Amino acid sequence: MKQNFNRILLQSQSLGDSEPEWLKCKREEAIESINSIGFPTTRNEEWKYTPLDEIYQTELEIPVDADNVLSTDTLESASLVNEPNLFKIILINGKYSRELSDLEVTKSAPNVRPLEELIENEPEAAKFLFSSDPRETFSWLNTAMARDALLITCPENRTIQKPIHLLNIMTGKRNKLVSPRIIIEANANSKLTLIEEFVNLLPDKSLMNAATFINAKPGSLVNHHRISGSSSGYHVGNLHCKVSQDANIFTTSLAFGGNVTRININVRLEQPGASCNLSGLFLGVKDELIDHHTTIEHAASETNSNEVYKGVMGGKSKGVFNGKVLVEENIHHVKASQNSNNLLLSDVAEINTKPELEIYSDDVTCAHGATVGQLDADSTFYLRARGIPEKVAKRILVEAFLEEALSQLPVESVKTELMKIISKSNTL
Amino acid sequence: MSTQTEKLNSIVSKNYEAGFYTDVEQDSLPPGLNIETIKAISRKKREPNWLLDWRLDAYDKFKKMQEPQWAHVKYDPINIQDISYYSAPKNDSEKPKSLEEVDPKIIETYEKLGIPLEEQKMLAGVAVDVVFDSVSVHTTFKEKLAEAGVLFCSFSEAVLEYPEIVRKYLGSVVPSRDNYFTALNSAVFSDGSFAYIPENTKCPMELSTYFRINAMNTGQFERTLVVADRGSYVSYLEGCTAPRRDENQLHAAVVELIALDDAEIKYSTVQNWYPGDENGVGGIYNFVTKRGDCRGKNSKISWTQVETGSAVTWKYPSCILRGENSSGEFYSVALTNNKQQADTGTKMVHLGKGTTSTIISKGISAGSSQNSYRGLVRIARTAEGARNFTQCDSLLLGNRSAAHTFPYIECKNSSAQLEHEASTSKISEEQLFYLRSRGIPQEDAVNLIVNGFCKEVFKELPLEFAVEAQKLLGISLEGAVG
Repeated sequence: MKQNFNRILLQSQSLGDSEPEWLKCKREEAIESINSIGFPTTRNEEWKYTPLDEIYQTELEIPVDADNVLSTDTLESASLVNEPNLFKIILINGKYSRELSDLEVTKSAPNVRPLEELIENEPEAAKFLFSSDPRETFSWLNTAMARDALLITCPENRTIQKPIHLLNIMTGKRNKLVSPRIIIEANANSKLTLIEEFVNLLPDKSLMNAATFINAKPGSLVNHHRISGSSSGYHVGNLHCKVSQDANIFTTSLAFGGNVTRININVRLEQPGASCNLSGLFLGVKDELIDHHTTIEHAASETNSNEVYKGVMGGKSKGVFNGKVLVEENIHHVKASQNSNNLLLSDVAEINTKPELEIYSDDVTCAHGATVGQLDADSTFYLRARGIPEKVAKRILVEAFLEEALSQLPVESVKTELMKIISKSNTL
Repeated sequence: MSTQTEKLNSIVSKNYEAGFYTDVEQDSLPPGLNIETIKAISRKKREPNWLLDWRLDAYDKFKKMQEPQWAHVKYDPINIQDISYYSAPKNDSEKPKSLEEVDPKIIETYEKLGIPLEEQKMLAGVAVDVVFDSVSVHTTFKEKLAEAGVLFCSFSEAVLEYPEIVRKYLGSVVPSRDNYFTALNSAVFSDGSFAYIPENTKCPMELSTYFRINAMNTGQFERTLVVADRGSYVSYLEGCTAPRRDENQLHAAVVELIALDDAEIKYSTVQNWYPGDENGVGGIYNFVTKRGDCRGKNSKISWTQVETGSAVTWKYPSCILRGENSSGEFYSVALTNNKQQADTGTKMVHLGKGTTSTIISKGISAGSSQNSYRGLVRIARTAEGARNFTQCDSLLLGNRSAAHTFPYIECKNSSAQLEHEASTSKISEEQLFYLRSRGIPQEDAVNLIVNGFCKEVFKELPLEFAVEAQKLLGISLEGAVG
């Protein structure tokens, strides 16, 4: 069944001829790890609700340079974000495009360096790009397949005023496997806002297998927003965050569209005073499957976490949320709260949610809640009684429901786009 | 006679000794599990052929299955060939002659629970005189039940006397292939309880295995079947608050409840098997499959459990809400101390229209124990207007204890409404200080708070159980705080 995948793994080995020895080694290790445990199926607890058989059966190609062309027009219409005042970083098929990106060379800009440049100038920093190795198949697959990797650093004590818009585009002909890899280093006491967007311009089944690593050093503040909203294709996203002393990380995930979307978010609060805020929103209108798995590890005392995920499922869509909060042994004063609220708007849609707590210390205050329901009949009636048509009334209520998760987003244009999707949909 | 023939003869006679082909009454079968063991059990119980076939079929399935690994518990692997699958109740000569011969620790617990002397003897397995009080209790309650038409007897009795009811319902809620331990139980179950409540009958008393003397030694593979016919009501109590003297390591019981139209079953359990010592040596593995089927319209099944014993617990009393407007309830207190591990919770499977379920689970973990709540609420596409409310709270005592929550929510119907809330925290310092400053000793203060924490569940228990359960909690928590 997974022979196509195995073939692509073989293909990848021949592509990496010009790479330095350490990188080849790293990739081989990753492939070995994949082979030892194999690709997940629905028999795997973590993938219980998310079948990937279709993509395993698809013949995927690794993009070549010829695929990586894109006109400015297509580029502009591809993104949901169209605010002018942003730093722009564009990756096409996972490869950094200096020409299309828009970064002023001022002191306030982030430091952006792709893999090739680093291998040439700073081999140690290049190794750092592949140093994280989460024990997860698709992260390994990314390590094995990522042709490029991007290091974004924010120097110590610096605040980057404008949000950074990181646009990942998958394009070309035929079905592809694209593996963007981004490493974000927020040095001590720095501040930055990042909007990471994933767009699939390929009509058919393709797989975007993204890996993003965020390292929030002491006292830093990272605002991260992740948007995956393509009309088709498979999307697997891995986000790994490490949060140091007194650092804060806010991360929002916005997911809609696509055939199957699976996003793994892992935040490790490593030192005292670290905190994180996770919010998410997933929206299904046709037959999408959108799956979020989040893990928050409290590995130090005095750490806080807060999580709110909202799902709205209409049509024949399927939503999955699995949120895990883990408190390690012998730590104190931990606060964690987690919420999963879901609206089910069609009789053929489906929601599976599992807010988990795994707690090994006693000095904690943890709470979680989950709800699944439909729009409140009383509220709809209230609006209808004031002459608002049913469809509009429902939309107002859905918008209100989503507001909590959307309010974090620094760009208005995305909200507007999202509302358009909601109003166009028949089932919402 | 040549040596060879001698050898042959000895082998033949040995085989005979093992007793597979003999009618001589034996107390137990040698350890090991194979088709012959199952046939022997069936023969000893003089079972009809259909039941033997059913057992063999279950054994067939069992052979192909593997022990589940997903629970959040760790224990040494069980060797199913080391277990003796049948042992008849011990006769009087082997039982302790008086209470003096019983482990003083157990007696101490009885006294704390306030159990009368004669009952203590019975619980400790002391050989009792025939004129002992409870025998008369036994007969009076039998008469009362017979008057109402309620059938209540041991499982083996039921197989012989009411085969058509047993055959109709056995395995219809928990099929033998359900999981590894149900398959094992279905193949080798030794005895258990059976109750049938006829149409429109309210069972005149609470059915309790506690009263049923012959059920005191049902062995490790129990099987319980309770059928509530249309419009009937029964409250069934399982187990008792006193610790049971038991050397069996693995307990793989199966409980099946069936509620037809407008029937209600209330099933309460207090489980207090031997939990092992402070270092986690010994103790019972309690791997139980309990499931109720609300087959009829407006039927109701309610599970209430207080779990304080066993070294490892793996137990999920569930409700299949098939009938329209049927409802399921689950109230649970699970306490773990020392090295105990519990992975327990419930499953509510909503199939019918307008079905409702409530889950209240309270986990208390002390010492270095592991306490997990694992629950599933599934709303099928057909379950229009289904409603669920779940609350699971955990209380942590001591910084080596652990509490986990794994609630699965699967919803396929848009008119369903589900709510789940959970919290985990330790005993609040302020509450403790408040009580301590009023002169209440530390241990009593903790007891008071823990009892308050569990109140919602205790109020669901039948009165006499509730009182004992509160005391039991106190005893189980001894040494956990300080």
